[in-house]
Amino acid sequence: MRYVDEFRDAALGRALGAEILSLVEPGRHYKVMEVCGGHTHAIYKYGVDDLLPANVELVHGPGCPVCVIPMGRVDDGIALAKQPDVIFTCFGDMMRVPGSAGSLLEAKADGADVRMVYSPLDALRIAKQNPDREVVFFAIGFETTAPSTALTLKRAKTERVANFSCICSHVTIVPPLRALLESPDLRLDGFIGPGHVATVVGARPFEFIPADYGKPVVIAGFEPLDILQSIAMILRQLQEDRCEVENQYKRVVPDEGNLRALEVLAEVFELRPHFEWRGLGFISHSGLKLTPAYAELDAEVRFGVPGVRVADPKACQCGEVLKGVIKPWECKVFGTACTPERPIGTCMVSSEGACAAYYNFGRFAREREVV
Amino acid sequence: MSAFPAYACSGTHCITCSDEGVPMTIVSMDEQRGLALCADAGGQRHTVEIALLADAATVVGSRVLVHAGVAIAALGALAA
Repeated sequence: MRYVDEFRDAALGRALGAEILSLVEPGRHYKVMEVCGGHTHAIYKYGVDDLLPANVELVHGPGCPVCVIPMGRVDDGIALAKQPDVIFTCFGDMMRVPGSAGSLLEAKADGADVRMVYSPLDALRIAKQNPDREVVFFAIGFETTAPSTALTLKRAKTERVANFSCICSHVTIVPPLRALLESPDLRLDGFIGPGHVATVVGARPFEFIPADYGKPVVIAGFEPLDILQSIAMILRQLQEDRCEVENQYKRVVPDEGNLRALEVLAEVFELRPHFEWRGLGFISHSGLKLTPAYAELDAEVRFGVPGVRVADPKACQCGEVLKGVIKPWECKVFGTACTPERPIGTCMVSSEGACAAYYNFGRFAREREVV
Repeated sequence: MSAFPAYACSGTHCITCSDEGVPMTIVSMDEQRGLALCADAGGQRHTVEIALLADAATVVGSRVLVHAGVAIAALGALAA
């Protein structure tokens, strides 16, 4: 397929694997975190880690937008969905995320009007088609999807769609990365940067990682050769004792990001003082809420939500998976009590979740050569 | 628990994944509403918001990266 095959060429992949092998210092163990869930999915889907020497370890980061939503927030969504005359809309993955007493899908089975949408624009269209109902959109995601919500809210305001509102659970990627770098649990050598978040925010927001923590970052695309090349670039920086932000995904990511998107985000959203992340706890200035100019479209203001903090199930180790402290298969309930069909934790829900990605593609014993 | 809607997923990858970028080609424009009709690699058509891209990047035949119904980046000739 044009535009795709070029980045999945097996011979080029093996050549990059050989280049990576040549860059590895014998006896040294490298830990590289892929921040974005899209990378995690691609790594397992294409078996990228099979081309790496055993002492290059890929650690999965917190960049799956579904996986980081805490149970209390799901409960807030379900409480809104159960309000009379509400049509509750959300992305498909969110429907299966367990709250403390079931998921949105189960709320739908119990009679709540919960509808899956592909984009917030679809939710706005449903609002226009149902003027006598309240339509609430469950907005989740990083800086990649936040512009989509922002543009929809602008459109709702301009077109005076009075029955549309949004429960905003958008998050930003930099604060959790800083929290991870401050964590004593984890020693990382470098980061595969999130390519599509960088499309919006550019490369600059990641400069604190080399500047403050001395770790290389390579912003990467999502095809297998993109990921292999970015790993080679990280290892080359380490070999040459360099430490900077490099952009492997230049064909899509401008260094300055998308200025129009950043303007829209600044108009519609402001940072919350703190926001709870699944497994990571409360992180300052890591979540978005609507600015006062858009407060009338804020479902939390319009309806009120329980806002109760709910502890994760004791058996679930999503927090450690999200921090890269353990691998998915090291979780006590992985593949037994927790499966994609009946997830306990969020990491098993989304296809970008590390557990679901490993469950779907990687449940095989693998021997790798140690250098 | 009810089954997850079959149309929501394609193989093992959920098409509704909230953070997935999809390359598409602009088929036609509705400049008045700031929307474009775009086709994905499989030929399926989608209505896409194009307000975040420069005018030069949003002409019929341009390739764009779409996240949740919004084009967030123009793609170069070889972008996947």
